[in-house]
Amino acid sequence: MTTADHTLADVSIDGPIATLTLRRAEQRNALSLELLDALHAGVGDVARTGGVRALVVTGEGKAFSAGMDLKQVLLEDGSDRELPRKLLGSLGELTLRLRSLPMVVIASVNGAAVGGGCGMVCVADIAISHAGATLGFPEVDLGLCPAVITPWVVRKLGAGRARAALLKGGVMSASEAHAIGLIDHLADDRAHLDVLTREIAERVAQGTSAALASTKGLLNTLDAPIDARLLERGADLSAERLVSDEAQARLRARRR
Amino acid sequence: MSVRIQDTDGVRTITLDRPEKRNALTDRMLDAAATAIETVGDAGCILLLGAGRVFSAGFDLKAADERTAPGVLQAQILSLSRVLEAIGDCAVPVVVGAQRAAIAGASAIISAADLVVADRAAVIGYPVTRLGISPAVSGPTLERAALGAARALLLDPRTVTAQRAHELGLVHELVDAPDGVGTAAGALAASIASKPGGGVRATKAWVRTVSGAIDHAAAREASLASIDSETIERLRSEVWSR
Repeated sequence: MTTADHTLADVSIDGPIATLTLRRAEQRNALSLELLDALHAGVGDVARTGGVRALVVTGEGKAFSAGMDLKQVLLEDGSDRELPRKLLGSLGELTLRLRSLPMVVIASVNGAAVGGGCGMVCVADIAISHAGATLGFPEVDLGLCPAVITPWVVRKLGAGRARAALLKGGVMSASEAHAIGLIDHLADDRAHLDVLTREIAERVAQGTSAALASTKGLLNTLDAPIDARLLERGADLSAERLVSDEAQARLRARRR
Repeated sequence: MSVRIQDTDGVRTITLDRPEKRNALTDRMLDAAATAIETVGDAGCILLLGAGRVFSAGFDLKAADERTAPGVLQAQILSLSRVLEAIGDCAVPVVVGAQRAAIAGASAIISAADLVVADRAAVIGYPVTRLGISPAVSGPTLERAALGAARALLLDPRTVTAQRAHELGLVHELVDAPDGVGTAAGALAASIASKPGGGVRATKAWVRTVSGAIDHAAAREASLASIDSETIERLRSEVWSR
């Protein structure tokens, strides 16, 4: 295990409510290997803290998360060709760890949630956002395949709506996301998101630990067959697309 | 018994008939409803209604006290699970007409039904984790009906309007007036019962086959596992003292 950089993501605990904040605001909380390490460490901290019944996941700054850090997966002379697969594998493991937590996971989507970032929204038990946020899966626009997060998108939206969202690419407004069930609660604006998030987290935390853990445990049994192996296959598939010449050419064009 | 059963023109109507208690569900009422569904016979449709102002306030938690609570709750959970299983296994569609409120156990019945009619403002949901009771018994059927929204409905002790439940796929037909729910649900049940040949029965069976088996045992075990000393404490402060 690498030592996690706690300046990239940190956990605060307030009684039964924990908050995990992505703090890579200047890069729109893009998921670099280092940020993913910090998120793994944060989830581990929360799992080890007794009495937490709700975990809020949110982002600092304008974005919730822009998804994969495309700078890290752009292959150039001398770059680590294994990095894309490592990054995708780490994201897959993180989604499974978040889902397996016994407490209720609440995504408070403060701004853009794109690709892998939107996948994390789908993994959460409850997703809250505001009218100014955007969400979606633009992977296909770059010749990529969002294979790691696809199982969670199907779970959240159902197969029919998941196909449409994943295959059409682009992003949608949080209002559209609310209409298709990707977002469970919609605040009017950014300022009200925190109030609404707090209200919901406090209400959820009123549940007894036994009632919440048994309910979540049962819901997680319904997730089968999403498991580590399936997510690894997703990471293989996604990495294969990512290192392809076509995808790399599009990534380079976008960088200019 | 507080449940009325009537067979008319191919529709078996089951009415929760305890309006003075907002049709609060006892294990005996749930068992009577389950038996009526399991023995549908030649009827072409089942219609489930609640007499009076509201469809149902959910489990009758006042039927229990300090001494009897664990046993009474367990019996209610098991009987509810039997109703949910009976609805899925029933050879004909089950239509529910829910006016004004369908809380917790009653939401579970909605989640299992084939067709649900409700008034726009009716409240539906599971505000029970704060009572120390897990609504997991409804998990598998709710997830089939409302997909990913099932988590937000089961883990957050709140209600949603039927309007939102309609967007989520949990309610299928909305009416404006609560007092119009029974008529609209009755018309829907009559229309299904009047369809020719064995098409409806064949289709219900095939949808069940395609959707795969539901593990009701795991779901009711999860609800049973949530009942502990904290549940009794919460019921004392939230239900029995009021």
